[in-house]
Amino acid sequence: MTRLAALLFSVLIFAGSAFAGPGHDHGDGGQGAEAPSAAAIPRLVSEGSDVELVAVAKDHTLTIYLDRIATNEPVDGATIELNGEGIPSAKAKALGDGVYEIEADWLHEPGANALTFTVMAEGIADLLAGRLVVAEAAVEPPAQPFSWSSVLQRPEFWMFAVAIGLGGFFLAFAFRPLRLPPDDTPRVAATPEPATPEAPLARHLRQAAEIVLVALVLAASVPSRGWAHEGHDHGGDGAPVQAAGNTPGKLPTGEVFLPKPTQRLLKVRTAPAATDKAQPGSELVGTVIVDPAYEGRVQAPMEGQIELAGGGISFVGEKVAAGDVLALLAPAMPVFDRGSLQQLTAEVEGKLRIAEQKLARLTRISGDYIPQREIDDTKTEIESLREQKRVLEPKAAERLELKAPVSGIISVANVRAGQVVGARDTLFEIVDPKRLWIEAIGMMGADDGAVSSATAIDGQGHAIPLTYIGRAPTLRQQSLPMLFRVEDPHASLAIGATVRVLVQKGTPVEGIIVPDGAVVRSTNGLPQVWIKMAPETFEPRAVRTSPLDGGSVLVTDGLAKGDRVVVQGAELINQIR
Amino acid sequence: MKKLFLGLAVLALGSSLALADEVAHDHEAKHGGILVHNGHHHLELVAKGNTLELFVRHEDGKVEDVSGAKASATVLAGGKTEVVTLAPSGENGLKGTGGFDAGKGTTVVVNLTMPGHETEQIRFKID
Repeated sequence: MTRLAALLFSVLIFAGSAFAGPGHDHGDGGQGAEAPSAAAIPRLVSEGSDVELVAVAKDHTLTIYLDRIATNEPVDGATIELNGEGIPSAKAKALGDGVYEIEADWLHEPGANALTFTVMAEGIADLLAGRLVVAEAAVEPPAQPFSWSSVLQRPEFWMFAVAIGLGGFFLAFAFRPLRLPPDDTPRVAATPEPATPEAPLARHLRQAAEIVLVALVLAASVPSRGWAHEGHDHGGDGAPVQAAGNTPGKLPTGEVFLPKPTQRLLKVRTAPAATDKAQPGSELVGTVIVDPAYEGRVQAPMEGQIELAGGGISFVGEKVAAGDVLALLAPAMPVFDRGSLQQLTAEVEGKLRIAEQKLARLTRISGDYIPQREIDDTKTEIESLREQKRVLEPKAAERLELKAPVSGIISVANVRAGQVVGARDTLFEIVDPKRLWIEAIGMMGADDGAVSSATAIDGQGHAIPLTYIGRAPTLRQQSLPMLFRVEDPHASLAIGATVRVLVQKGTPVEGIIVPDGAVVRSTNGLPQVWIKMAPETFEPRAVRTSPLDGGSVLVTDGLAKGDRVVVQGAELINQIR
Repeated sequence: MKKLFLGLAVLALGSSLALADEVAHDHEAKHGGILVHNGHHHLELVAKGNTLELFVRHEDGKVEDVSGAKASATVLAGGKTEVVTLAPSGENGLKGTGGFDAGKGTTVVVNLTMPGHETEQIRFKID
């Protein structure tokens, strides 16, 4: 029992000395670090009627950033005049991109300066006021982190010292050399014997030594941050996040501090939110198809062999007009057909010869013995047979012209010279890439009358306006396909490509229309927009959105009229941690 | 004893109500000018022609003694700026004249230094 109490007591002494440190130590360090960062860069932020102004002092230069309040656009070509009590009035020098500079020698004198800026630019005349506080000449306590004199003044140092002293005393007492026995030999002989009773005092001391050892081990194993803080202090831990300075960062409130130079780099632009009415949209998956009226197909009407047309063989990508000959087809003639054709030819030739001989005979006989009717009949027969011969003769060498049925561009060409094709084989497909439709799948219901506008978004993000044509009454993939005509096909739109189709239908909903890029994802996945609260402060705002067309989104909740929504650079502000 | 407490409570409640009433009343311009709340002050600017008048009140509605105050106004009117010194005039007023003609769009920035205080800056825009 006493053993346990002693153990606890020792642990408390060692561990306590370790724990005593952190509270004071930490606080001091934090405050020490805060002071220089807040005073480092004097900054003035002022908002006027149309323009906002941020002035940052560095050395002897006052850098002024001038932007429009509503759009965050830098204002160029302005004249800025600075006035203040006890300050020589000065005109700012334009550096371009809305940045101006004033040489100010008074900046090295500490104190608060009430400044007035007169800003004149195209369409802007404004007076802006602000206070620029120049801190006491930075007398940073150098190398304050650690000095022996400060340690000596701390109570925890003394507590620690006393604890160590006590521990040392216990240890020294426990391991103090025992009195040597008068004779060595009996002791050597006695040691192997475990049951040898020790002197009561020695056993007592050994127990004390055990206690102290165990206590030391325990105290060392107690996870204590205090130990780490003894020697050095963590200056940065308690410092506030970017109260001033030129580094963008997230404020504890969740807002983002984005200094003007960074805003210029990211080209941050805002737009005041205005309420509007728009039909909510829904998103469908669409496929680009060709307007059926402008799609042509060339098939082989019969079996045969392909021969080159006058201008060579047509290829994919060739532009053709309706009626252009794409290729020639030499019809293949079966052996049987060829035989009967030859037989027919021979027969016709024979008949013709007979008829010609008959006519010659009839015309040789003069007088009225031969009736005129017979001569005329023979002549007619000859003509008929000649015609038959003429039709039969070229059959063997005849070529069929394969013509383009519509104007457009050849999209498929499966043909090579000399290729033997069967009847109904598709040889060419011709499409007109200017006449595209989109077939969209995914919308349920049958109320198609209310589709007011539709837009397709291709893989590259181009928004392409569509016109609603109609919808099929038959289900396909569990929904009714809708057809849209592409009004102005973008060059990137390929036939067969999958596109997103945004369809607006239904009753209009009130909301705020913002560009697509303004809505970003927060870290927890919710859609949010960034609102400019002050010239250099932006606040995230969770919103409820509904798709409109490719370029814009309807915010139905979360935004108020007049909020300055970041419409450009929101994605980049979202990355600031 | 109990009665005393009750009486005190009633008194406290009544006085706080009275105070609240007073504060609530003073959010309007007393002189027909533009009212701006800045720090602990309610400042009202009356601009007529070439005269500027500034009235200073504490936010609880009491008039402030401005006899020891220093004030200057920068006036932007018609594309020209002018600095006008405002001198104490009347109970809580500061008055100054210049060569400007105040009208719609005129912007005025007043630098007001109350005795023993830091300079305050107040911006007025006449709409």
